[in-house]
Amino acid sequence: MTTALTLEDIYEALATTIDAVGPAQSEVYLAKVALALAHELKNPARALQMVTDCAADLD
Amino acid sequence: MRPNGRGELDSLYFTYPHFDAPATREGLDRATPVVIVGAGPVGMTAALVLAEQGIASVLIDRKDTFNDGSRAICVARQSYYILESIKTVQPFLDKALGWTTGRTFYRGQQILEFDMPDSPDEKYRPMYNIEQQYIEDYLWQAVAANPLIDARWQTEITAMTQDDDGVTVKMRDPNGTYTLTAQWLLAADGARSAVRGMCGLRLKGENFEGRYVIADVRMQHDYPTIRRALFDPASRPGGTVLVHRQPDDIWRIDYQLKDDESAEEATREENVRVSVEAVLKDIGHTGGYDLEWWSVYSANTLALDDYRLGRVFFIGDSAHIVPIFGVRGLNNGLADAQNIGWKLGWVMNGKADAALLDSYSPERRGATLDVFANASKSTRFMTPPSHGWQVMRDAALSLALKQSYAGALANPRQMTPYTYADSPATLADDPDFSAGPVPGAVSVDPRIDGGHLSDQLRDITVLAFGTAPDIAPRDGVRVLTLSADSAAARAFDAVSGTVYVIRPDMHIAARWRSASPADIDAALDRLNIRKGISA
Repeated sequence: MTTALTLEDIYEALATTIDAVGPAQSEVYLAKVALALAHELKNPARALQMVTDCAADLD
Repeated sequence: MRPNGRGELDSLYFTYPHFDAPATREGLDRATPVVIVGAGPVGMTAALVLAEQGIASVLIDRKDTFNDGSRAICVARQSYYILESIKTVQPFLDKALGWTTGRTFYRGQQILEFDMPDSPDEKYRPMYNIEQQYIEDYLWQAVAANPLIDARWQTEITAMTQDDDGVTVKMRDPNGTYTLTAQWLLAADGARSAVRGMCGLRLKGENFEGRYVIADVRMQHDYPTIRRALFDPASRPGGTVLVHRQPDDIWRIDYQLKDDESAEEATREENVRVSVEAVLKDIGHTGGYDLEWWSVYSANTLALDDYRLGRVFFIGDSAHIVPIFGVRGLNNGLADAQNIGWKLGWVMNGKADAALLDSYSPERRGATLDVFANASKSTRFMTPPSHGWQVMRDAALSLALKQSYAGALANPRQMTPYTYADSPATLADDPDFSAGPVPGAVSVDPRIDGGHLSDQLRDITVLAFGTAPDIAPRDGVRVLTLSADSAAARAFDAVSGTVYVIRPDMHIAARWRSASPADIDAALDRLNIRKGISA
């Protein structure tokens, strides 16, 4: 029996994949994920807002 | 540069002519309506556009032959219309290779194929490849045959002054010096324009770090005329390579230099050969090749703040340096030449007021800034200027290997004619239209009467659908009436009563879905076209 996927599953998959691709590739990998998700979202304005918003509170 | 043992003009396929300085000195200092400095493609085109309107010019160039090497090789559709207007298009059609398709590869795998807009109903293909020597040669044949153009080779301008009445220039050639006066001066003397320096002007803008070697080889290579862009190929890890087919079995190979590669080292023949051979391996060419010519360039975006200083107009590279991606250098130079050429002709022939000339710089500088916006995007993709651009470029290319939508990010933005939306010579659009070319845009060219609309365009055309408008006649303004129920009408989103005003350069000045004669008169006034008919 499968359970519905949650944001936590995405969180964990990103964490393990960042480790798997290694520090040399993780940045390009995350950029790819962002482009792919933005494409699937089919809402460029919303995606652009998220690109901007995510720059907050990094320190 | 050319291989060891061959001179700078020692081409495998082209014989450079030699032009003497003027031998007969009498009349060299006779006043001329227009002096054009620089007999490259842009200067020659300007002279021919003026001559079409009966305006004589003196055309000078410091060299004794054409520019060396193939240089600009892509001529866009709209430039073919310009060539047609100066009656030189036929040799270009006979020689050049038309193309519509580009392919982009990442690490050897094709990630994008794009087609530029084209159809059998178009008069010309979206793009043609032809070596610049031929461009200059064909234009020169027309210039040399034209009695209104006085071409003087090995002649340079050494000083220049201007006042309200005209321009005075000092000329020097191997046989002597003289002073010449003209009403107007067109500076078509290229990126290192002497006229620009004499005017105390300089180009401003960004410098991109990207540097490319462009190399031509002659080889028997079986591939259609399709522009190939290779990202991160085996031949240039992390770099970008462009491959173009030209006539005469000549192939253009552009490759990006790494930051730590010196241009001097990279342009040594043995290093060019190593790089070229690696690219040939990338594209699967196993036969031999002859190295023809190579050069190096940087991807720059530089322009003058104003393309006019009094009676001096800057056209082509003297006014703007653009990155070559998107092939806008030559094509925009030709558009500059046509733009100032027809306007000067109309003013000098008394058909328009001098205020018409005020629209040259806004229109053509606007076109340059549009080029910058597009070319800068292409440049940032080809040669990422910082870590952020590099990361996103690599991400897009990597994604594109499996996802075709990401390949569109790698689409090199090719030349499209600029819309003069903000020009003082362009009227606001009529909101009743839902399609058709907007004011400032270049006209569409639908088929009519077994040919094309452009066959019937001359001077300024008031293109009316259904019924001819009752407007007062003006010199150089012609009314052309087409059926309101036709393919042409649909291309213009026209109904009975619709009117377009089309300029000599095929740009739309104004349009109304339902025009009144007063509307049309006001638009012609706005264009500074004089009222009435001369005797």
